[in-house]
Amino acid sequence: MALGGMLLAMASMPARAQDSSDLQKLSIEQLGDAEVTGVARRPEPLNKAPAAVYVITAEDIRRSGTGSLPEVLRLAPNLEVAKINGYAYTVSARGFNSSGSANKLLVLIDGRSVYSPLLSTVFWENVDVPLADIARIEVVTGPGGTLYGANAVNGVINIITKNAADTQGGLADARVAVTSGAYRTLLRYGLTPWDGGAVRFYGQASRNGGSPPSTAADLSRTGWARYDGGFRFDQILGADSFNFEGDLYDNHDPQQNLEMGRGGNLNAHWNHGFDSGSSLATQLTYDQSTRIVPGQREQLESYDLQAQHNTSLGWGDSFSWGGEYRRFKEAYYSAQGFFLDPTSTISLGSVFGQDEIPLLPDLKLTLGLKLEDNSYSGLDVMPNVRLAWETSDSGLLWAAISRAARTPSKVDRELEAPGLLNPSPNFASEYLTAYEAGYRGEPLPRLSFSASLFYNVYGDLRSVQPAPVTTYPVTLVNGIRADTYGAEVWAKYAVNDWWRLTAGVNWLHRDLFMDPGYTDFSNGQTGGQDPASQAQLRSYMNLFGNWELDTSLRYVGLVTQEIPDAGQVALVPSYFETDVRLGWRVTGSTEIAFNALNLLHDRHLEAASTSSVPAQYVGRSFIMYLRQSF
Amino acid sequence: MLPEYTVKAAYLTKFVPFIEWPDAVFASAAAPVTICIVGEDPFGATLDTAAAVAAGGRKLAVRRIPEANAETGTDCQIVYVSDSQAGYDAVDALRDKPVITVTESTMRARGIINFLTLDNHVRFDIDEAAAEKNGVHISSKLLSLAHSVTRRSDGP
Repeated sequence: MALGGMLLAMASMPARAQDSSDLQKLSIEQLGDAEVTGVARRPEPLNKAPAAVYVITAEDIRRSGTGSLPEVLRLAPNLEVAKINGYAYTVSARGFNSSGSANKLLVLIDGRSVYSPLLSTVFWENVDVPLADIARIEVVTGPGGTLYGANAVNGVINIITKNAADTQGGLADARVAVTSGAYRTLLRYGLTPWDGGAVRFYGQASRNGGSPPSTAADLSRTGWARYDGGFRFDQILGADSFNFEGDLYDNHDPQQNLEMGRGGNLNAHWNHGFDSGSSLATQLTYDQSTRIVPGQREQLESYDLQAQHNTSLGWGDSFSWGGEYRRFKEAYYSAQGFFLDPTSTISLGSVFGQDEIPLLPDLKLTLGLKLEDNSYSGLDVMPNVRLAWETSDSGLLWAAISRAARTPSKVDRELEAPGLLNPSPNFASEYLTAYEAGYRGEPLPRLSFSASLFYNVYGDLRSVQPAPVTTYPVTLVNGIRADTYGAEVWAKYAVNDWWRLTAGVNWLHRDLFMDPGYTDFSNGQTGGQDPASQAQLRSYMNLFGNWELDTSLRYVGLVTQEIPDAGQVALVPSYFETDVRLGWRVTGSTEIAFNALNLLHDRHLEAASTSSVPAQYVGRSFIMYLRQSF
Repeated sequence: MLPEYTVKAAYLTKFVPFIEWPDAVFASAAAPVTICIVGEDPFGATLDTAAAVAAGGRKLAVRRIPEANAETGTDCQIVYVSDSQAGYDAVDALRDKPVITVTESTMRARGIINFLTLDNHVRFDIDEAAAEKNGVHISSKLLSLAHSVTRRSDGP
């Protein structure tokens, strides 16, 4: 969870020119990648980080026609997104995607982690951002432990919101499903109170009526209503930039009139650029949330302080180092017991250093190490080594070896049900050693292309160990190893001035093995529910008269669960789905659009039910959208 | 990490190949494209260096105009003004001239191209409508690189 991006420290490949005559050698596009020191916000990813990075732009989001953050994430071809019911999603990368196992992807909103340390997952229903406020989403697949810390195992999603100076004036939008009446609406206003400062405020309301169940036994109703609001303030003072933002939300079930959760956060960043060219970025975060399932209540409160200094050790390198202190208090109350002590207070400290060393003008070596210690499960060591070679056509060939850890959650160690499940105080971190390589470049003038390969070796994955003879009580232990490998490939092609295409495909192969002496009573729940392949093709057309026609086709292969030492169980049929959006920018300030989502089928399933979460259908929908700025 | 104004100076020279001025603004086929700095000059020698090594098309000339007046910049093709009242007065005076005004304003008084710094990167907005009105054509390639564009057919 280090400040800033993984990429940042290791990124600065393309435009590391020393003076203005070097700059002249860059194309005007590459100038846009140049990091500048004038106003030091946190350093951040450039196009050419030596890692698998897909960037979802604000324009992609606007034209996706979708109405929630997890739906937007479908735009990234290197992610797996499965909708479970009216509000719940699981999102993963490179496998392990299910409500019981999606614990290997870290998600940050402006540097604030929304990963739940209590249950080792992300509750997407608690995570929302006004889509119009998002500047971009960086989806990094592969370990990010050295910079981000624990739980950035298979990837990191960085959601970056717009500077308040960039959202001045008013904006109102509304999105209504024609048949179901589900809606989402935003009102936002930004102003400049004084020179160099800018602020915006927003309020949002959304509601949907839930999803059709897939079995007669599933009586759950998954309608959802959410109100949220917040602000972001940005100020530039010479070499310092400051930003302060906060949100409040309330979730409830409108059909049964039940409170489902609420929370809020405050997040401040201060960045200072030194005359020497180095910069210091600090972040202070307070986050508080309550998630309610009938009969259960989960509470989390956390304080987090991070600092990162970006400088040079003097041999033409870029060196980043920093640290983090986080303290969180978590509590899980339920009618069924579950935990002997429902509360835990955990403190976590980490330090990291990473140096990017130019071996040759076009060859860079990155060496980094993070040490993270938490009061709950102890020390984790997360190093990485990366090599990046800039090819003559400004492409980038890269390779990396890195190690990441998923730290034990309260569920792993303390969950108990007398006679059925013993607590497991010795449950240890799950580990990954990842070997990656990739190429990214522009092989033709209008074509950008990226391909990444990975080979992941996991150890100490969670398994459920039955008691000798009696089977029960079972115990959670670190008894599974896994090898996975696969590829992620995508391309963007501008056919001409008014038509562009994007395409992406990924493949995943998994093998799970029991460590000697262990058996798994959960039948491979750890392995997750993943398709062996996914693909998508998107077309964006700007027609005459400011009309836009956007279409997408996506394929998700047969979803299977991998049973250790045994093989696969098929769970969810493969599917194709298509979305169509017809938009009209009536004037510079008014936009209307009509979206048809999941057009090919009445309904399809994206996940299989687990013991606690029944999977429900995802249906076709027709959406009217209106946006007015003022 | 680069000094912000080194990058902005590079941009000023790199915009030129993507902009077509009416032929009438040039005295001859060999006349340079003139980049003028009105008021405070944040670039110093970096802009002269950038202009000297810029390749292709017409040569670039750099001129500094410390004190603005009503005629300021009318014989320039690109006019950069710093964030100051005098600068915005100059932008106003050039509003109907075939001149690309460049500002770096967070306020409403923006030139045809307005620099902004987002997340440590220099970006720019383009007011294509204003440029076309004065007969200056900006290529779609440059528009596609802009952070945001006020289109010809847009706007009230």
